[in-house]
Amino acid sequence: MDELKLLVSPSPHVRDTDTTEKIMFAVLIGLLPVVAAAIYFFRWPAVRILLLSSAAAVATEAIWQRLRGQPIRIGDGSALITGLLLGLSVPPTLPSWMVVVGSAFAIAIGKQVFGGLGHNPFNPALVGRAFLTASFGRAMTTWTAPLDGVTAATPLALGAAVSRIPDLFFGQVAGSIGETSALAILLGGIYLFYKGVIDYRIPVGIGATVTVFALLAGENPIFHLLAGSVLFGAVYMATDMVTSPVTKAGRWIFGIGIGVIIMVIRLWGGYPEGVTFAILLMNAVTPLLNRWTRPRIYGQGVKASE
Amino acid sequence: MARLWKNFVNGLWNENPTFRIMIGLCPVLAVTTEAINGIGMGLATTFVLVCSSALVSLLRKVIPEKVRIPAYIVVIATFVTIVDLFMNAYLPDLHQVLGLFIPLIVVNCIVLGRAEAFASKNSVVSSILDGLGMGLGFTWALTVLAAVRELLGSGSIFGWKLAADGATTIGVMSLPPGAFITLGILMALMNMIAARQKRRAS
Amino acid sequence: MVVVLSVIAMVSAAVLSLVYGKTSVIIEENAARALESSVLEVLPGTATVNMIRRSPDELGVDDPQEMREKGQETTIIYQGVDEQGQIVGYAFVGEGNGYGGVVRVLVGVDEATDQVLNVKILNHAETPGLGSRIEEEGFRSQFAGKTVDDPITVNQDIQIISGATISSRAVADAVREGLQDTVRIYRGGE
Repeated sequence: MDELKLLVSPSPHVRDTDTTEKIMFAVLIGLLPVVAAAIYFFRWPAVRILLLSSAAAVATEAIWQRLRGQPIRIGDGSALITGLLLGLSVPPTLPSWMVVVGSAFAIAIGKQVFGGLGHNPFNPALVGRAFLTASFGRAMTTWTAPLDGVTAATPLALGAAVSRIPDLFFGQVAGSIGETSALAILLGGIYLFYKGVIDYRIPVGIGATVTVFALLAGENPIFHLLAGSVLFGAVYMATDMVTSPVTKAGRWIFGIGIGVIIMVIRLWGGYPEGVTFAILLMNAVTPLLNRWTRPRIYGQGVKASE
Repeated sequence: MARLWKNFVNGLWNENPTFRIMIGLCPVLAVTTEAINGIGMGLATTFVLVCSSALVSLLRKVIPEKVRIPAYIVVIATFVTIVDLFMNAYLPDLHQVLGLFIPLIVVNCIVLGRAEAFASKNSVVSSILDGLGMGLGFTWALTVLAAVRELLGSGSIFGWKLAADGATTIGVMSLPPGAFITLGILMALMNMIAARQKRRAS
Repeated sequence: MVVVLSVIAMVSAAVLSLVYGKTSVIIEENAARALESSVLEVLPGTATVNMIRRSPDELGVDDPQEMREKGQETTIIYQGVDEQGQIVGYAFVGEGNGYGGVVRVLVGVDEATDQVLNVKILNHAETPGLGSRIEEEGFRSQFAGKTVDDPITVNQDIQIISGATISSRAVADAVREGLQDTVRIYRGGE
């Protein structure tokens, strides 16, 4: 018998080739369709906003890490992604200084204050957006029509009767620069799913819940799925690995919870759109979901007499 | 003499009720939308603190231990009611803004806490100084927080408008989340200063 | 133990009644003056303010005790009289559900035409910078000239403040419902 050669090495023993950089890069590619649609529909304002939000995010993280004496890790791409996501979720008319302040806030208070990547309980881009919405209400609710830049109202404000489904699908509507084109978002989402970066349970959970809720409330489900930022939030924001549950059951509950809160805010709440706050609220519940849906360890938790 | 001075200074910095001990935060967050409110609330609380600490200390040998809490509450409530009535009569605008939070001084942790922890065990003079220090520490904490929130949230300071009419202000500062964030940042700054002081001392 | 508590309570009660006696007069005066100045704002030209208490079902019953016994709601109407003794108009307090709580408005109505003269926001807890813009002249002036025959509804004859639909609606509701009730009561008895 040949000598058995046994390899002895320290853990980890299950390896994967994924790195933070690789995942972030995949997300970046997944965002390309949305960025392209944003620039196509909103022209220079979109370019201005995206450049500023990304630069401000990366700069804030670098400055913070420098001041705190930590190694500068902007190369991992997470700050860039946060900056892009925030830029994509604001109206095209937002003044530049607000974009910068919001982006800096998102990184500083939404992420770094908690200890950096992996430690934040809330999605940093949404923290920045919530800050902007609460601080600059008027500026954050001034929308323009795509392609010509005339002031217009969003489909959610106008209502289902006035909005045309093809417009909503391709993106010929007013809204924040990333949320309008359902087609672009779906393309990005399919890519991210194919790359294994996002778990289908969260977006499907959100979409299904929104559909069911809309039907039960007598509203058009297609309208509610395509109007506003449900798709954008479901694909890019809710699926953030740091702030969503790790277990499969947890992710379903997470998605359903978000869907419920979105519809409650849309139908009976004070704001026309509820995605930002729905995701932030469920972010807060994530640690609890992780604890509740912890898989049972084999052999434990079973009574001896059984 | 030095001990008495220490009693007073304690509440101003080392054991600042808002930034260090972190008690009595409810009015801190709710009332500090404008700097003048911060001062008004702080001074009202200081008055109650000094008077109730003095009286509790004066009566400390007389009040039986079993009924000390109800006794303190009656004393504190009396002084708070006096402040409330006086403000309603002579400072009605401030009274309307501070509203519900004036009666709530009765249950402000600082007042009852100092009565129980200090005034019931120390001389009248020490208690008065402690009350004064804690009260003024509370007042400056409120005022600084309120000044920041008023400046960023309304563009004015002590009612003096710095920003042009219609200029954009950071609305969230006037709302509760802004209060929490500002409080956190100020606390972090104080901790930084304290850590540096300790390093220099050692 | 009981003795100490009783003594403390008695002293406290004595002190407070003294202070209350001295300050309550001033407090009531302040309240009356504040009310008068508000009414003067919505009924320009007023020199004196009369308070009229009317109950919707039993008009003419002015005694508060009687009304409480009958479990009726009183509406208080402020009548403004100018220096010559002519009635300028009447004002009422309306309430609407806003974003952060109840929005209270004081509405002045013209005596001759029953048209709204002016609207003043008394209390609100709306979002600063957004809903608080209901205090602006541009928004409030929309209500001038309205009568009970006008819809006084947002998106019909009242323009909302962009981004502050609920706050705007609260004011419109307060004015509309209050106007209907008040005109009915004020004119019904005469």
